[in-house]
Amino acid sequence: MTGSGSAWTRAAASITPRRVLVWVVFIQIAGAAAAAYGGEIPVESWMLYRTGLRDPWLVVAADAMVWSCLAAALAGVVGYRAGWLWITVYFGIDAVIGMTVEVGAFMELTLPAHAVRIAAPLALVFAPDPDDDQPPGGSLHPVAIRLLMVAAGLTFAAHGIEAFAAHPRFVDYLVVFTHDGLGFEVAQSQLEVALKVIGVIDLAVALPALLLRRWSSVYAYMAIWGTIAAASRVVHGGLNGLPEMLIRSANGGVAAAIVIFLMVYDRTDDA
Amino acid sequence: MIEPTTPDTGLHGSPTHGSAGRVGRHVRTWGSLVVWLASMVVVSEVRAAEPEPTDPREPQHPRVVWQTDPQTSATVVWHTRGAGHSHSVRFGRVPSEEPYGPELTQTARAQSHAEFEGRAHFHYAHLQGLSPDTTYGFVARTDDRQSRRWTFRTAPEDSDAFSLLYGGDSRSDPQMRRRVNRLIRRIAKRRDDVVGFVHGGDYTNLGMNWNGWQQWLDDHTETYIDSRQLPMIPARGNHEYSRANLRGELDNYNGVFGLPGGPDNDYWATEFGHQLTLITLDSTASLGGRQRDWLESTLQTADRSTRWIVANYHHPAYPAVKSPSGTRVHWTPLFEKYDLDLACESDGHVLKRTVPIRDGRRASRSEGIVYVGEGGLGVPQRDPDRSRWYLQSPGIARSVHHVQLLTFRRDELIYRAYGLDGELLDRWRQEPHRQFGSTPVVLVDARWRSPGEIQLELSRPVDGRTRRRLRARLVGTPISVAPQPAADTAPEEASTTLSVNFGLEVVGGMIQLHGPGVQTNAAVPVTIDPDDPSWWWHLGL
Repeated sequence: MTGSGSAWTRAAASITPRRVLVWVVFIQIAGAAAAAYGGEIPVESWMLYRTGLRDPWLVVAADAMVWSCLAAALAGVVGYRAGWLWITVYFGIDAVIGMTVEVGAFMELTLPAHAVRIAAPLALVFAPDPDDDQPPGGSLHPVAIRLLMVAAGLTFAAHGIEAFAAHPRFVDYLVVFTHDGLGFEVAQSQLEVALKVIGVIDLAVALPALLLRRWSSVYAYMAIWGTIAAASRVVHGGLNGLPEMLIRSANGGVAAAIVIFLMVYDRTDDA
Repeated sequence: MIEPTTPDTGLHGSPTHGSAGRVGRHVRTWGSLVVWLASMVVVSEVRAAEPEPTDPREPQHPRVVWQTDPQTSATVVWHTRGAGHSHSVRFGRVPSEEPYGPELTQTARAQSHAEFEGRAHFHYAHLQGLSPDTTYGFVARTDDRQSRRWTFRTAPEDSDAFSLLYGGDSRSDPQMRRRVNRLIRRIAKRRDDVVGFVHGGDYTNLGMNWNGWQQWLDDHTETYIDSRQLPMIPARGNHEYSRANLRGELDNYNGVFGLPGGPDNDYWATEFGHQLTLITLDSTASLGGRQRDWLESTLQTADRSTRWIVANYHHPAYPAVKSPSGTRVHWTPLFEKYDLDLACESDGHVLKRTVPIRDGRRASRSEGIVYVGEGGLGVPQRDPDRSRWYLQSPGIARSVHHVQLLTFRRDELIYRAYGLDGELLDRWRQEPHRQFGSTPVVLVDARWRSPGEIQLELSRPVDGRTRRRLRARLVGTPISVAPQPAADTAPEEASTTLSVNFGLEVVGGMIQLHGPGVQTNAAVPVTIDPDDPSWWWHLGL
C-alpha cells in the first residue's frame, strides 16, 4: 500500500474507508447547517410543536444543534469518539422526527432511508480492527463494516420502494433531468415506468448488502448511483437543492467506503 | 505495513476498561436519550377519541364544498359512524339565509366510501343545476336519520363583486384554530360579499388519523354563521399525506371533502363565471408531470376567458421560513407566462406578502406576481426570515395568526389580512394582469341555448396580434326575449348583463354589446328562426 513512490499512488493510498467516512460526515453536517440557515430543519419543527419553544430560541437551538455537530466532528477527528456518537444521535433524532413530525410521502420509510446518514458517524465510533495492517486512521472495525453494509442495504431498499411506487419528487427530478439535461420531454407515465426499473435495481442491490455479501461491484454501483441521486437535488432545484445534496453525501459515500475496504483491506474469503 | 497508532482495541477490549467500556457507556447513555425522545414523540401523537353519537347512522358535520362551478353546483359531504343503506341530500331554495324556508323539494343521491379503518363512512352528494347568488337550504339524510337544516349561498353572477376568505395550516393547536374560526365567522357575518372559504392545506396534524379530522370538523363549525355555511375550496397539504392516496385510493382528505381519490385528482379549477378562475393545485403530488401539463392548459384557457386568475397550493415557491419548494421550478414559469394575478401559499406558518416578482427578481406592480400566505389558521407561528429580498418593502412578513380576505371587483383585487381581534394586518391592491374586457371585443356568434341561457362567441385581440375566440355563457336572469316570427318584432328593449360584464341589448332585431372596452359598433343583426327547436340565433357580423 505504501511502497510506491508515485504521488498518485500515495494519494490513492491515503483514501481509506475511515477517511471517506470522515469526509462524508463533515459534508452532511455542512448540509444540515446549510439547511438550518436556509430554512427549517426537522428538529426545529419538533421543538416548535412538541416543546412549545418559540422563536428566536427555536433558531438558536437549531443552530446550536448543528454547530454542536461540527464541534463533535472536530472532536472525533482528534480522537474523541464521543463526538461521532453525538453526531449519530443527532442524525438518529432527525430520522425519528422525520417519521413522526415531518409528515410527507413515505414518511414511514424515513429511518431506513436515512440509515447511511446515521451509520456513517456510528461506524467511526468503533475503533479500527487491531489485527488490520493499515495506515493510521485507515480501516474500520469489522462490526463497523457490517453496520455500513446493512445501512447501505436499508437505504437502497427504502429508496427502491419509493422509486417503485413512483415517489412524486422522484418523478419531478426525472422531469427536470430529461427536459433540461437531455433536452426532450418524457411523459409522466413513461417516467413512472423508468422509476419502477430503478426501484427494482435498487432493491436488487440492497438485498446482497442486507445479507452482508462482500460483492464490491454491488457497492460500486451504490456509490455511483447514490451520488447521482444526491446530485439530482441540485439538478432539480439549483442552489436551493444544495443542502439536500450535501446531507445525502452518505448515500454514495458509505458505499464508497465499503468498496475501498473490500478492494484494499478486506482479507476474508467471500470477497 | 503500518500498525494502527491508537492503542484502543474497540469492542474486543475489556468491557470495563479502555475505549470499549467508554463506548459501551456512551451507547447506553445516548441510546437511552434516543428512546426517551422517541417515546415523547410517540406519546405526543396520541389523541383522545371524540365522543361518538349514539346512533351510528346519525349524519355528522354536513358541509359544503365547491369544486368546478360554484355558481350552479356544490357538493354536500357528511359522514356517519355506521355504513347505513340510503344516503341523500334534500335541498331547495330558501328566501333568505333563514334555515326554515319553503320545503326542500329536490333530492340528490349520495355516493359513499369508508374510512380506511372503518371508523367513519363518508357520503357526498353533488347538487347540480343551482342558480347563482341564491341561498339554498339542505339536510343530509342517512336512512331515517337526518341532520339539522343548513344553508349556503351559491357564487354570485359575473357582474357582482365578491370576496373569498383564505388561509392555511389549521393544525397542531386546536385552541388557536377555534379562535381563528371565530374570526372567520365574524368577518363573514359582517361582510355579506364573502361567499366561500379557501384552505391551503394542513388541516390536522396527521391526515391519516381520523380522530384529528373529527376534532377539526368540530372546530370548523365555529365558522358557521348561524345556519349558514361558507362553502369550502380545499387544497391538500403534506399533513394530508396517506399511503392510500399514493395508491390512487380514497383517503380521509378525499372523504372529508368529497373529492375523488388519487394523486391526479386533487387539482382542479373553480370557475366563478368569467370573473375568477381559482386554480387549486396539489403540491404533494408530482409537480412537473401531468399536473404541470394540466396547469398549463388551464391557465391558457383562463387567460382567454377570465378576468382574475389565482392559484392556491400548499408548498411555497417564495417562502418566508423554509427553503423554496419545487413549485418554483415547475409552476412559477407558467404563472409568469400566463400572468397569474395572485399566488396563495401555505406551509411556512407566518403572514407574508412578497413584492411583485417576475424572472426571479422584483418587478413592477403591473408585471410581477405577488405571493401571499403562509398559513396562520391555528398552527404555531414562526419568525420569518425578513432578510429575503422578496419580503422587503412593500412586501411584509410577520409572525401572527391570521386569515386573509380576497375581494374581486371588476377593476381591482383587494387583499387584506386580519389578526385574531379583527385588526387589519396587511392590505394590498392590484389591477388585473390581463386586459380582459378592456380591449375591443367583437361579437362573432350567439346561440340561444334555452330560455334564460345564451352563449355568445366573442373575439378579442390578444397581444395586439392575434384574435382568439372566447365563450361567454349567460346564466341567470332570463332575457325577456321570446322567439319572434321576425326580427323586427322583437321586444323594443331587453337587457341584462353578460357574465363578462358587458351590457347586452336586443333592440329591434339587433343584438348589441356595450360596456367598457366593447366596440360601440359591435351590434349585429339578429335573425330568429322560430322553427328551430333549440332556439339558436344565427348572428352575422
